[in-house]
This record gives sequence, C-alpha cells and structure tokens, in this order.
Amino acid sequence: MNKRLLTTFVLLLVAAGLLFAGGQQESGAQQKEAPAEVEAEEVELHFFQFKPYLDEEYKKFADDFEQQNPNVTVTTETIGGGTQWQTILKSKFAAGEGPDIFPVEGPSQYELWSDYIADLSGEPWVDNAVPFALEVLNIDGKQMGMPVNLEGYGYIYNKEIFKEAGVTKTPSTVSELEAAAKKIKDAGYTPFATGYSTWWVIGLHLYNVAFAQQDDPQAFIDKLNAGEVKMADNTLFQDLQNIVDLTVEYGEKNPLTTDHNKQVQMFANGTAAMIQQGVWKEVPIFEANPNANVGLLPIPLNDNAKMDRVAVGVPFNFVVNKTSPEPVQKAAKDFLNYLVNSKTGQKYMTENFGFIPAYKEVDPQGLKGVGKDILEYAGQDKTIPWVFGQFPDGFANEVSNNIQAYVADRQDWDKTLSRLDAAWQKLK
Amino acid sequence: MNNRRMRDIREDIFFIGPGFIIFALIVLFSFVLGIYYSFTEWNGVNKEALWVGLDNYLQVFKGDEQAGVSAVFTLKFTLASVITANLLAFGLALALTLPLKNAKLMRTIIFLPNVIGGIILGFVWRFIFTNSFVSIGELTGSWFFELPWLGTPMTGFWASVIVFVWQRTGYLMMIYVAAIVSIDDTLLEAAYIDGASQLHMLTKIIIPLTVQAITVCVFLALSWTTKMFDVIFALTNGGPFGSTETFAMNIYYEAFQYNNYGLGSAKAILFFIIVGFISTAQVLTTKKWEVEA
Repeated sequence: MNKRLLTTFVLLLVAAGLLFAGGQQESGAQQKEAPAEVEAEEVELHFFQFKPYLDEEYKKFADDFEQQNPNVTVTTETIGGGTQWQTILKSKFAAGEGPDIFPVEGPSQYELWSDYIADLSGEPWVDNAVPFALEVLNIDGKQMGMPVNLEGYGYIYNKEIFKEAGVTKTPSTVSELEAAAKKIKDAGYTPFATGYSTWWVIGLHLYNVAFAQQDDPQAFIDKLNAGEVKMADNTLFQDLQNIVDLTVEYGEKNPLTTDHNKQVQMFANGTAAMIQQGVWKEVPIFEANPNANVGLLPIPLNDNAKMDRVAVGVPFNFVVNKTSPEPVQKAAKDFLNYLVNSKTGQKYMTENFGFIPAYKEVDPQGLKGVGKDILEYAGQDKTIPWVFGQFPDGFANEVSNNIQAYVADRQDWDKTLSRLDAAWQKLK
Repeated sequence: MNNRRMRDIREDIFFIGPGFIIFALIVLFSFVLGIYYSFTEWNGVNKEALWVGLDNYLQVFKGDEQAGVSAVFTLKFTLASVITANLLAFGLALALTLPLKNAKLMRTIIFLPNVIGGIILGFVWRFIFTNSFVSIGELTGSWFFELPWLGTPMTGFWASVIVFVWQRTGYLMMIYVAAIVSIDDTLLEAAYIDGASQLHMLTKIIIPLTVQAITVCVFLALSWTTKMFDVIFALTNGGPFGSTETFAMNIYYEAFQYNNYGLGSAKAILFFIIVGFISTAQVLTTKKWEVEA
C-alpha cells in the first residue's frame, strides 16, 4: 500500500515537473514571437500607476491617446496605497508580466529596477522640464525617468483657527511655532494632530527635513554613505528633537494612536489646527469640508531664518520597461510625451489631476490653498528638496520605529540618533 | 496481479492527481525555490541571484534585533491567543449545547466573524480601537476605553489578542460543539444517576471524550497564530515601534520592504522548521491524552 502511494506521488511529481517545464517553454516561445507584432503595427501598452484616486482620469487620458494613435491599445492598471504596489509590481515582473510603463519613486527604487529601465535621454519633454525635477533620475548623465508633477509638504494649517487664536504672522521658526501653538491651545483647539503612528509621516517626511536643510544635502548623504559623518554629530539632526518635542507637547493626547487618516479627520472637523501633511491630503480635506480655508507652513527645526522653506519634490518618475518589445517601448515613450508635452495632456495634468506640473510654461490651474502656497514658496526660491528617495531600503521604517520609541519615552534623543546611524550603515 | 496494481495506481492518480499537481505547483515548487533563494543574496528584482552559502542563516542569528523582538511577540501572542480562544470556545460550546432556545442562532452569530477577510477585519478593528473606544472613553470615563489603544506595546499586544479571539473563537467553538454533541448521552445519564456532580461530569466524561477536538483546535489555533499576518498587518502594521510585528511580518518586511529576498527566505525556512517542530510536539502530546469511549 505504502509502496503504491509512493509510486503514485513520484509519478505525479514528474508530471507536475513536466507541466511546469512546459509552461516555461511556452512563455519562451511567446517572447520569440513578439517581433512579429512589428508588421501588424498593433501595439498593446500596459500602463501601471499607483494613485487610486486618479484611476478614472488616467483611463480617460488613455482613451484620448488611443484616438490619436489607433494602433495602440492601452491597458491602465492602478494599484496603490502604502508600499504594497511595489510588492505587486515585483510579482508581476517575476511572472513575466511586467508593465511597459511604471512609476519609480526615487534613486533607491531606481537601483532596484535598474535591470528593466530604458534610457529616456533625448525625449522631447526633457527641455521643458523644471531642471531640479530632472535631477532625481538623472543617472550618470542619462535621463532614466520622466517626472510629472511637484508635490510639497509641511504643516497644513487652518487659517480660521489661526485668526481666531490671534496668530497674525505665519510662524517660520520653532519659537514662533511654539508661540502660535500656545495661543491656539489657549483658544481651545488642539494645535497639532501628529499622525505619528503612520510610518511615512515620520520616516519619510519629518526626517527628510533634517537632511534637506543641510547646506549641501547630496554631499551630506555621500559622506554618510562613506561613513565620514554621523547624524548624531550634526546640529540639524539634534535640532529635529525640538520639533518632535513641540508637536508631541502641543499634540493630541496619544500621538502614537493617530494615523494619517485620523489627522485629516481631526483637521477637517476643526479640532486640530495643524497637520504635518502634503498637498495630496487636500483632496480628502476638501471632500470632508468644502469650505476649508487652508495654507502651508514650513517645518522648522530651530530659529534660523533658513527654516522658512518648504519641502518640494518630485514624488515619482514614470519609467519605460526596456525589456518590452521595441514597438511597445516606442508607444510607451509617445504616451509619456503626450502626457506632459501636449495641450491635451497638460490639461489633464493641471485640471483633472490637480497636479503642480514639473514643466515650465504649463499654467497650473485648479490649485487650492496648499498648492498655491507651494507655488508661492517655489517662486521665491524658498524650497528644500526631497531626499528620502535616497534613503537605503527600509531606513524609513527604522526612523519611524526609533522616533516612535523616543515619543513613548523608551529612549532618549542621543540613543535615537546613534541607533539610526547604525541602521544607515547596516542598510546602505 | 501486475495488472491489478497498475489499475490501483491509475485510480490513485485519478483521485489524488489534480489536487496534488496544484499543491506541487503552488506549495512544493515555491518551497524548494525558497530554499534555493535562502542561500543567495537577491533583491527580488534583479535577473541574477548571487550564491552566498550559509551567510543569510548566520546573519539571522547575528544581531538581527528586530527579528528577535518579533519572535518574542509571536511567541507571547501565540500563548495568549491559543489559550484564550480555546477556553472561550470550549465554554461557549458547553453553553450552546445546553437546551437553550436560540442556541443555533447564537452559534451562527458567534461563527460569523470567520467569514470576514483578515485585512478588512484589521482595518475595522483599527477604527474601533482608535475612534470608537476613544468616544466611549470620553462618554463613560471608563479606564479600559481610555487606554491609548494601539499606541503602546501593551495595548497593541492585547488589541491583537482581542481581535484574534473575536475572529476565530466561533470556528473553534463549532468543532467543540460537534465533539460535545457526539458524546453518548447514556454515559452522562449513567453518571447523573450515580450522583456525579456537574464538575465531575465535565472533568471525567466530557473533557476526556473531547480531547480529540482539543487536539484539532489547539493545532488549528497554533498554526493560525504562529503564522499570523493579515489581521495585525492591517490593525497595527507592527507599531508602535515594531513592538507588535509578528515573525511572518518580519519576513515580509525583510523580503519586500528591505529588499533582502535571500535573507527573508532564510528566515522563512527557519520559521518553517520551528513551527513544524512546535506543531508536531503539540499533536504528539495531546494524542497521548485521547481516549475512546
């Protein structure tokens, strides 16, 4: 009996193996057949993006593109929210179904996908883009990704509450912010909804400020990678403690229980006066409260005048899959060019998507309080960059865990920074 | 004779085959591939994985602090949840096998949370803990609801246990109900006539005769809790500061967020060995207690 079962299983295992081998051969054959599509001129373009609220808009845009290019069929796929879209993207590539266009958030992610990313230098849009937006994925002089929009973050504040509490000058240093928070608290509001249970609020955006306020952020990161400097020895990282302490002292009761959704909720219903968030939260804020009167403040670390700068960056770049067949790559490039370089595409970007375009001479419309403030800061050259795209994989997680532990009084600030130094060296 | 054996094998293939092939493709194949990747350094995307031998395994034992934290959490969570869920399930099963009016309806209601997906359940409970509990706390001033739910390692831990117990107790209860119902009534009647107390009937008849169900339920609960991922992922996402990260989540983060696919695979293989060892030990022990009526 046992022998019989054993024979059965061995046979089945062999059969399964054959089936699998068969499957692989098949996909190999498909790849070889691909060039045949050149003659047919029929191209299927697989477009992957990660902003769920723009799914419909991107599909409409793809329809417009298909009308201009009848031989191209665009499949738009939207998977977003947190970091999960990357996991899904990985499994798609592992299954041999990698999309032809997909987003890459920064240099670290570029490293990850570099085997698959086509060179886009020489594309028509390169000349029209805002120079600093191009820098993000300019790798060794080659343009590997296409920026689309600019985003900014800081403290989104409720102008009505500020007025009611008697805060007339918008605070731009830690002392001014503390004075404002005190007045707001006295007026009966919660000055900050911190959102410190959400990893990216701390790990990406807050921590970025200490890097971005350095005189030369890039040089600082290079030195950090080379092990020549330590965050623990740097005054700006030490000063970061000021703003963490301030927001916790004047924040909601249990900062580690509020996530980014709760932040927006507390802000939109008028209990909290400030949230550390970015322009992407304007949509839900105005959904919850169409009459919101909001603006954006910088995140100061100390009382230096340089603190009056908001973090503006390129949230993502679209890249083209270089393992796609040649005609599909061509269509992908056309698609991207159509998005940022045609009147139709620009209209979509500004009006339908509500983006601040990363391109010169595109008139930004449909901007509300936060977006307008970002443009104003940018116009006065009062911006600091986003460098968290250069954090080693997983570093933002470590930042979030360690600062949460600091907020919970589990460790002091020196310990926090020295542990983060160790984490950087380990993960880089 | 030989012909007959061939026919038997053909029959086996016919009946076991389809399921086995799917199992082989989805589980066995991935498992073997996972073993291979555990000996490599790979970021999960590059076309080539670099062979590094036992390096990944050594690295797990050498100063991976967070892996230690998550292993301890998983252990504590498993202990607390397996015991609570089984005690509660057994108690409910006892109560709901009594001739109560709405017993069947109540069984159904208690079973219901099982059909909700883990991620959704996690988000729903996250909302309950961070919003509803706060409001109830403000209204009643009860210390229980005023705790910083999900904001401290302690509340994060118990919140995870509460949600797990809430989700799975109904399922375990059904197994216990089936076991209790199948006890021969004459045994209980005879005991009753002989003057046995309720407690005696419970400890000398009902529990010994439901040990089989206990084996199954403890085994199930063990395998659910040791491999816990979805509910806690949505509920606490491992926070605050990684204190509620289960080992399964640690593996996921290592492989997909820190992009160390090889190291993640090595952890997964070690995890498989440990969980296999615990489960086998548990089944062997409780098997010994089983009796036939």
